[in-house]
Amino acid sequence: MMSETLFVGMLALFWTAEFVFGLVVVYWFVRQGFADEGTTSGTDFPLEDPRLTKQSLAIWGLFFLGIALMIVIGA
Amino acid sequence: MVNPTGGYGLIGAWAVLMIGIAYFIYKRQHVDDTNEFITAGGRAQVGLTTASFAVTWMWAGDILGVPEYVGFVGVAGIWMYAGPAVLSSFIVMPFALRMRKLFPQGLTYSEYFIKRFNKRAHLAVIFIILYTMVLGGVIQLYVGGTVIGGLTGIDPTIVMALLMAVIGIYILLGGLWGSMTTDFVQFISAIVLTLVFAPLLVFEVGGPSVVYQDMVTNLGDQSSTFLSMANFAPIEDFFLPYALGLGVWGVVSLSTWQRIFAVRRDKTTRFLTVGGIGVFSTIAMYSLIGFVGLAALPDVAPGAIATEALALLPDWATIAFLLVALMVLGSSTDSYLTAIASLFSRDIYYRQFDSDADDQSQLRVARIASLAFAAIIFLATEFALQSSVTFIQLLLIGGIGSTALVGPFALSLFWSRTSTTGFITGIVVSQIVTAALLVVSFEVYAIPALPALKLWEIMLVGHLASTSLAGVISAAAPDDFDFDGVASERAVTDGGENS
Repeated sequence: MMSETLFVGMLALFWTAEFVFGLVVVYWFVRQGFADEGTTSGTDFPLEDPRLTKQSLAIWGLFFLGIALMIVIGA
Repeated sequence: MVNPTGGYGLIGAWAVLMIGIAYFIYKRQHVDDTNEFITAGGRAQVGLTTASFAVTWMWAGDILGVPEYVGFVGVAGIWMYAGPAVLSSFIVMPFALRMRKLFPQGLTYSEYFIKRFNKRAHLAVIFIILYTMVLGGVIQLYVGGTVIGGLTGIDPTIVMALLMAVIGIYILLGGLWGSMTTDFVQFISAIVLTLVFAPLLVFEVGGPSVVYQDMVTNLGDQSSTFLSMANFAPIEDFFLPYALGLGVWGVVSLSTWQRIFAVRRDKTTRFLTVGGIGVFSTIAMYSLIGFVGLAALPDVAPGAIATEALALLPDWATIAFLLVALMVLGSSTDSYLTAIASLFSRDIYYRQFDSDADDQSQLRVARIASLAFAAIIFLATEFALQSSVTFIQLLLIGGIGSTALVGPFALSLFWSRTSTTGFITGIVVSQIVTAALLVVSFEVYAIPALPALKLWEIMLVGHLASTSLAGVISAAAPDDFDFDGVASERAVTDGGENS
């Protein structure tokens, strides 16, 4: 059973994660706008760089690790 | 509670805002061809697409569903509820990367199946997509009509008719651009809801420490179970059926694929990663409503926790909450409607009936379909409300559609020997078997020799049947497909193509 401190900390963590998520998306939108206006077709863009794919997979790995830790610590 | 006049005022304000935004983007992005209407030209930026993707996955039902899960399961309800949505974003990534390489010219992902197999395989896929997308729209409207009708005192049928009329109009104008741009405003609203109103509710009852202490007092002996993240006992009922069904919904959902095809090709996994993980944090924040319910409303049933707990908010906050609920509802419903309109125009009208149709004809059909399917979703939702079909049953019916398609789709993308016969047989047999099992499980009919399986077992049977049949039949009589041949074709939106 999680303690009071852990429970309050968990709520603070959720709030922070949500705030960061909103901030990142709004920041991207403000910087980039709606679309790449210099492009006539989406197929003009190259395929995704494998390094970006690996970065995304690493982020997913950290996320799943975080969930596993949350379950173990909050057991 | 808001009175009906105030409710109509809020719906009117929401309608003006959404249609205004759709008109703005219609003029700004020149939404006057099929490519812009269906895929936003394939050049949408990551921020816009991430917001749209995430808010499409933030269902109106989450506001009720997450507190209900917390009421039944406790803190472990957070990951059990959020898991399927997050898994969906992760599982779709290899499909997305492969499709954007093999089929860069795609407007709808379902068109790939004509190139890969034939029109019969394409029809099987259309059937799955069409009914799961209509169901998706019905599920959103079902919950939205009930919640907004309940909070305003307006008849849910009138609420649903107004909502679908407005959504139909703004999708008719802007297509996917209209959907994604309104989604961005809806995303901001949903984030504000979770960052401001959920904590406000916690502090209305004394703050997080008081919530914890009151939960422990009210739950008594059950505290150790409800306040443990490792409460695995309810996993068969609360996690596995949805993980196996909705957990792969993203692979089947045309609304997800429209955003995959809309974003720049070089940023495909980035928006799926940030959007998918972000949905987890939003769902986690909705759990605060459930904790307040467990702390302050110990006698309320889990299913009513959200509405009862939200009534603890001050009146001004209830009005703001209602507006946000409208936003969240609109974001998902408009995405499904855009997907259906695109499917009807490209896959049914152009690919199946009139391959000579020019771009403007396809666009016209997509716009007419926006309004026509808005009416169909409204009528189907009204039917569901009047009959004894529950929200959970609708979700599970959508889930079996996903189980039929995911395995054969994966084989078709990564195994050149996957045959047309194997693909179609896998989908059709899986769909028939799981539908029959679901009918028995829901106790609609008793079918001799068919056991009443648990819901997660039905989903597993769906996956195993579709994938193994597609694999075994293909191995026995394989095709030898040339993937490079598809990738080298040019993008075609105008008629005259031999398909």
